[in-house]
Amino acid sequence: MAQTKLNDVTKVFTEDDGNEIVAVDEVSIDIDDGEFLVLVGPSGCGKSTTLRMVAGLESISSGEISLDDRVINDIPAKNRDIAMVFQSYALYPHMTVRENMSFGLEESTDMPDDEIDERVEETAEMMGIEELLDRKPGELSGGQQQRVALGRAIVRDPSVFLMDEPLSNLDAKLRAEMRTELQRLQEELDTTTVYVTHDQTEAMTMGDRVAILNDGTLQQVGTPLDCYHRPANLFVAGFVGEPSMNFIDTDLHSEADETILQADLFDYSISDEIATKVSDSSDPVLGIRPEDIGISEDPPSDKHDVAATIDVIEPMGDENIVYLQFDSEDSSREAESIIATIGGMRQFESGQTVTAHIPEDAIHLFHGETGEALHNRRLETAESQAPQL
Amino acid sequence: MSEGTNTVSENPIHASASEGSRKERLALWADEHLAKLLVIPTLVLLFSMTFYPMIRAIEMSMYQYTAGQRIGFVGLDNYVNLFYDSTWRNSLMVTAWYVFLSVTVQFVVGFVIAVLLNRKLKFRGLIQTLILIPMILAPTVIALVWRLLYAPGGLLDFIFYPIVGGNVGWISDSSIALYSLILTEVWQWTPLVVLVMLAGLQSVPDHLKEAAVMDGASRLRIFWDITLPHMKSLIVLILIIRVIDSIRVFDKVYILTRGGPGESTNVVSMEMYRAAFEFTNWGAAASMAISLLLIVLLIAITFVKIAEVKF
Repeated sequence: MAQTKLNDVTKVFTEDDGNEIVAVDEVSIDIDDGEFLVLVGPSGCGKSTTLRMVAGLESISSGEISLDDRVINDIPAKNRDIAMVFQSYALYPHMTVRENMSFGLEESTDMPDDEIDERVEETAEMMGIEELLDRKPGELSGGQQQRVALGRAIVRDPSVFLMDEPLSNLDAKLRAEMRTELQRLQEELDTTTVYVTHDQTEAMTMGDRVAILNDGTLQQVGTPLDCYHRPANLFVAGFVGEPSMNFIDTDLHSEADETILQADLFDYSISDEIATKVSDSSDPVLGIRPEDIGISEDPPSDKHDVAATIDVIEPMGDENIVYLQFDSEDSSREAESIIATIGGMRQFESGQTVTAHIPEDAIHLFHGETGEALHNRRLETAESQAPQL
Repeated sequence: MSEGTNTVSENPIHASASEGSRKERLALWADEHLAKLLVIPTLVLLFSMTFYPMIRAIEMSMYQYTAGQRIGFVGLDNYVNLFYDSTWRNSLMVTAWYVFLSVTVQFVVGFVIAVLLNRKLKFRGLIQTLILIPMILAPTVIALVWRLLYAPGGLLDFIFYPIVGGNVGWISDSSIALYSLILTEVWQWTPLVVLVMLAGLQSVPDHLKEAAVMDGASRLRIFWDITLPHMKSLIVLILIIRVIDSIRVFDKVYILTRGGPGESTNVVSMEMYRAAFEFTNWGAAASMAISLLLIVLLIAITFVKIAEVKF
């Protein structure tokens, strides 16, 4: 167990032709003792490189990584007391499960053989793989190999677990099972865990906190719900949530008694409280989550109602995903579309004209140029609306 | 008339339909049997060039020949005679020593070079290409080049003169000649070992080595416990290829020493050649060939068994 700190950690790769690529750019994260931190982002965002730097498999170009206030930049991987689970499991194919699991203990400790055996058996039992101990990885299914890979990390009782997309080679059902099991294990062991994934479901459900990376820079660190409801910027807002948040480009217009966000095909009036927050940007981006959009067959009655046509409906059973198009009076202009999710029992038809209600409580506003969040939705429990980085 | 036109008009249709179905049937038949048909040339070649000569060799080994003429059936006598033939026994020993030493040195040197090459190096491609040159030269050319090197007063003597103070009988001294042959063999075939071992080293997945690093294993341990086991089948393969190939060595011996001086480099294929073409004792030569075949088979099976390799 250990507190892990990343301080301005940067990784620059130099290509053969001398080009420098900044894979990770001044990332700083404090990971608490026993915390489950998920590093998430699209492919190539630097999350795996960050993990590999913590592991010691990759050198650190600048910045510091420390474990319990001990800087580990120059400490070789084997002396860091860190265990890693790889995406491909990386089980040693010519060794039995038992040998795979005891290898690390043999190499990194001077524990007597009988104690190693005992530890291996205990861990195997905890992972439910005691019957597989004398088999070789080639004889195991993907799920079993995954358990062995986890067991191999757990048996060493390291101060930090690193997991590099450990579930991505499993089928959907098994992945969901292992997700809960991993969470249970992590809670039981209470070991600091850094978990890399590109799957936002894993990020949302598993982590105590989520660190979202894009293009090598840290976008936001926070609890999953914090990132969902109070995204720090456009990227986070679009990345977290499925279907993702709708974004509508607007122009800010102040009229005598109200402030209006003018989209291509509709106007949206905002209160003075919100208007003061967005005064920095003349062309803020309006964000609204699909589940916050109300749809009704009644004609628009409220100033936050917009007439729209249903383009496509995707029934998912529990909910319907509705693709809405705003009616354009000018037929030459391309119709703008947004996505809304509504209850699965509600019945609409494509082509139907409806009224979309965009509640002011639920809108997010982002700076038109920097993408930074200017205003996040109102939360009943939230004391402050200001985004926290 | 109408009937007549009917039959006339019907016939071509009927004919073309049956022709069509014949074509279809042919296509179906070909489809089913194409694979077998395509294998036939290889089988013919294999039978005519391998199995038939082998069967003839077995047959020959059971006859006695004098001056190239078949005299009579002697059963296994030729084989029994081999047991008492000290020249044959000597040639077996010479071959065994030749094979053991040259394959061992080739393997060790080749592996070390492969390990050294398996990293980011400037001009690695160039080095790799240069290393391969001995392997792509014609064996006769190699032997002839080395004959020049080994010649009295040749390049090797020139190099070693300051050390030994005279000419070395590279291929004329019976205590040295075999080692000279081994040197040539090593020079020729180490590149193959380098090539195969380098491919093997590069086939070890990075994540396995990284997992071992995380497990706290030292570099030596990773090499011993991860890299080597991963390359086991390739190692067995290259050893089998090299052992079998060097058991059959002939060209170098023929061109450099003709089995001499004395019988110091008289390897089995040289002895076979002598029995067949100098003494025209085809029966004895054939029995040697078959014995050699059995020995090679035995060695190959043992290798595979010991290493528990599945190809």
